[in-house]
Amino acid sequence: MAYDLEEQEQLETLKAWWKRYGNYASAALAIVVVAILAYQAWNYYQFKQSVQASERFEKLTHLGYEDDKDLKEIKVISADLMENFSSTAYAGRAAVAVAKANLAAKDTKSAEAQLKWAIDHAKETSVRSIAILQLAGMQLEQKAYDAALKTLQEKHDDGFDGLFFDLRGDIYLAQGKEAKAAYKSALEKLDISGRYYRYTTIKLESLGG
Amino acid sequence: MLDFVRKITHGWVAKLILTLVTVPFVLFGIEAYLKNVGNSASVADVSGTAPITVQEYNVALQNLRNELQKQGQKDLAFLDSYGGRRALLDRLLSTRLLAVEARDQKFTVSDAFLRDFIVNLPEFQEGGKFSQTTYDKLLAANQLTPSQFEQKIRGELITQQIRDSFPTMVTASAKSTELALQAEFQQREVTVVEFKAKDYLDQVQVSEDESKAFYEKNKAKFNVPAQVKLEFLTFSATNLIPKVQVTDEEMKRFYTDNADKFQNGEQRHASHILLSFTPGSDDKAKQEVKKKAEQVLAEVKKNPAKFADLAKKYSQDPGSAQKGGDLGSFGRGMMVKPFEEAVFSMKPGQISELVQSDFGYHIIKLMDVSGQGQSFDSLKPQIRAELLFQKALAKFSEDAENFSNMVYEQSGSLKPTADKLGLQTQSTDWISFQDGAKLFKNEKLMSLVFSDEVLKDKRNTEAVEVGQNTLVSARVVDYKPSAPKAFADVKDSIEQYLKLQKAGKLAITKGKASMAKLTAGDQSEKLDWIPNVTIDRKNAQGLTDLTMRNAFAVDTSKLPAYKGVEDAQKGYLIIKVVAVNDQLTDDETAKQAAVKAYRAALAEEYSNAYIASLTAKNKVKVNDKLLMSGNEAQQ
Repeated sequence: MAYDLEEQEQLETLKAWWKRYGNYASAALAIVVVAILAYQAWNYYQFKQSVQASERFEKLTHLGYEDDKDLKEIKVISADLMENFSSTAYAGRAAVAVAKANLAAKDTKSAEAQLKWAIDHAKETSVRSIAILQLAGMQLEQKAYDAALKTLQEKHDDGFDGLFFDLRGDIYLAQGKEAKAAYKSALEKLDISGRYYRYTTIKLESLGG
Repeated sequence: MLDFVRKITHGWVAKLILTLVTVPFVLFGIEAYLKNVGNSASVADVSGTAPITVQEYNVALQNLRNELQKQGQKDLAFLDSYGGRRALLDRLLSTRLLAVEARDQKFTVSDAFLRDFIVNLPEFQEGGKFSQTTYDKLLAANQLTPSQFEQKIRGELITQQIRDSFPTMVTASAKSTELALQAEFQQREVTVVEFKAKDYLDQVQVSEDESKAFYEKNKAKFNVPAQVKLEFLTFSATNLIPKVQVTDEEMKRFYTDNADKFQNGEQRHASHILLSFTPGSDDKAKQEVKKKAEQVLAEVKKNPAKFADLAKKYSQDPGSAQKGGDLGSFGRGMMVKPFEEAVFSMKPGQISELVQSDFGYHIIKLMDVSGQGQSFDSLKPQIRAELLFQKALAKFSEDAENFSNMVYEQSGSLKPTADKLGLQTQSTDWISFQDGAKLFKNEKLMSLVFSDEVLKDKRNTEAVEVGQNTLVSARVVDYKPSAPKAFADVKDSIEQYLKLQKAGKLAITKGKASMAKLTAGDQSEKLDWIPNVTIDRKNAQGLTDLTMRNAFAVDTSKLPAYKGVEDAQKGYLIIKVVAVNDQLTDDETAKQAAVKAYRAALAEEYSNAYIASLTAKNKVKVNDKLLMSGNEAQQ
């Protein structure tokens, strides 16, 4: 055990440092460990939520939209997802799905609330985009043209531009306003090889090109 | 096995360990993979995930090819076109994008769902129930561990879940549906009047000056390509045939040399008496045998009818002696050569002289000939032709170099070469490059003809092999540079063209004038309207395509509505829409079907929009060049 002088000195310095800062160091280490654990726990919690939400959503997708009994179940499941699993992407999808069921059952009030919820809360921007289109479509149905046009001004995914323009055209047409420009813009954005393209084309044609 | 996985994945700690272990693995795994593929480029980059590599793409292409072939599709050429390849890439991309989205949005499927799915896969069923053995076996055959496999399936199920549930969320609003179907089913009562260009032909004149001006302006269009008159020499094996001779002897030799080929079907029945050499015997011993054989031969000749008895008595062939020397029937190639030659040159009943073979001395009697061999006489013309060609070919090979050298060395004329080789020069009329390429079935010769050396310096072309065993050298006798056709030659067609154009213009002017009156509300003009017809998009009622394309594109906010359509060639067309019927069809079934089709198309558009959004979000970059063709080279 022959420490030479230098080593002895270093050891002393270290001991002094530990005496002074040891508590802080331990605390810092503890914080890091806790943070890691908390992060993992959060991840795990999210994963678990996602699994449970997925099970519920899977059930939802297998229900029909026009059956009363199914409607009831859709309502129950989607309410559960929107309330208890709102941090998952499934909640947004459930909201749009239940709105569709309610629309089919002519319960426009509930549908509107659910679509608005989806617009505010859906994790997926694409689902949000659907919700906007669905809400505007519903408002067109109710002849609330200005509200529908206003709804269509919400920010949405670029991929949906064609559908947004097309619906705008429909609203103008229903209002008896000039719809050609909207349809023309829609044709620039819609999938040219898709089957829907033709409908917009003939709508525009009927207006004299 | 599955329960085991479930237990592990449900354990709290195990989950942590799994996360820690798999994350770095995934990162390193991907990197190592890319390095492995080395320079194999990415067909498409997707930010935030691995690109679609050439290798991955090619595997998918191969799978698709196999799949289509299995379905009995024969024409797979579209897989080599850009369109087909792009479609496949889009499919791969949409799957990849959905997988990224699933990861980012934390989509998942439960273990129970995954298990249900796997357990119900028909591939793993044995007698209607899931079989663990089959499962293990199939996975092992695919070199997959259960966890790899389950992860794969899970990925697919998640993708399927988010892709398939997307369009089901869509409602087509009733108003939008109505608007689309109104356009689709709309009926229009229309009539048309045509101002045909050809009806105005006699009202227009074209002066010679106009034609001339048109000719001067469009001279380039009347260009005739440069033409040459050629003199040429053909040196070919076929042409040499008259110059070669074939003697009867050569033909006979050919016949014998190829006897196998010509006499295959012939069978000969022979007997023999063999006086054999003892193995290893020297010349002296052989002489002894020969002496003995000559004695036997003399005896046979004295009494040919007793050949069989003598064979029994003298023959040393153990196989045939007891049968009176009978060897039975045989064809060519079955006996030793000297024996065969003797047998096949004898006449039935004839007895040979001594024939020596490795076995000893034979005395042969030909008993009978059966089967068909082709006789020399019947084959003579065929053999003659064959030999003539062979000889001509030999002569051609011999002189081909000579020909090439001579046309090159004495390049000022073809005559010396023609004289030397006894050939005839031939000549052409005026021909263009294209004509010549067709005539000689060779573009190289014509390229040479139009080269400076041949065209300007009047030299022979080098000898060009225009076909098998055929050489041609040509020289230019006369040359006409590319020039426009003379005005006189094209005057008539120009005049006709201009007249039609003028008539068309006149028709359009008249049509426009009438159209202007009509749109101003003046219907007094007497026009040749066809009787009104009611059409919809699917029922043209005999109207032309042009009419149909335009009849539904008439603005009908005011009726009657008019639309003028110009066609520079045909003239002018006025379409008049008298009435529009927006009433949807009465046919409920048709209506239902139309609504269904509309909804399906809309849902599909939503799905496309979804993928388009993901494409934009993930900054997909496609390397189009790789799809253009030739990317198999990189496989």
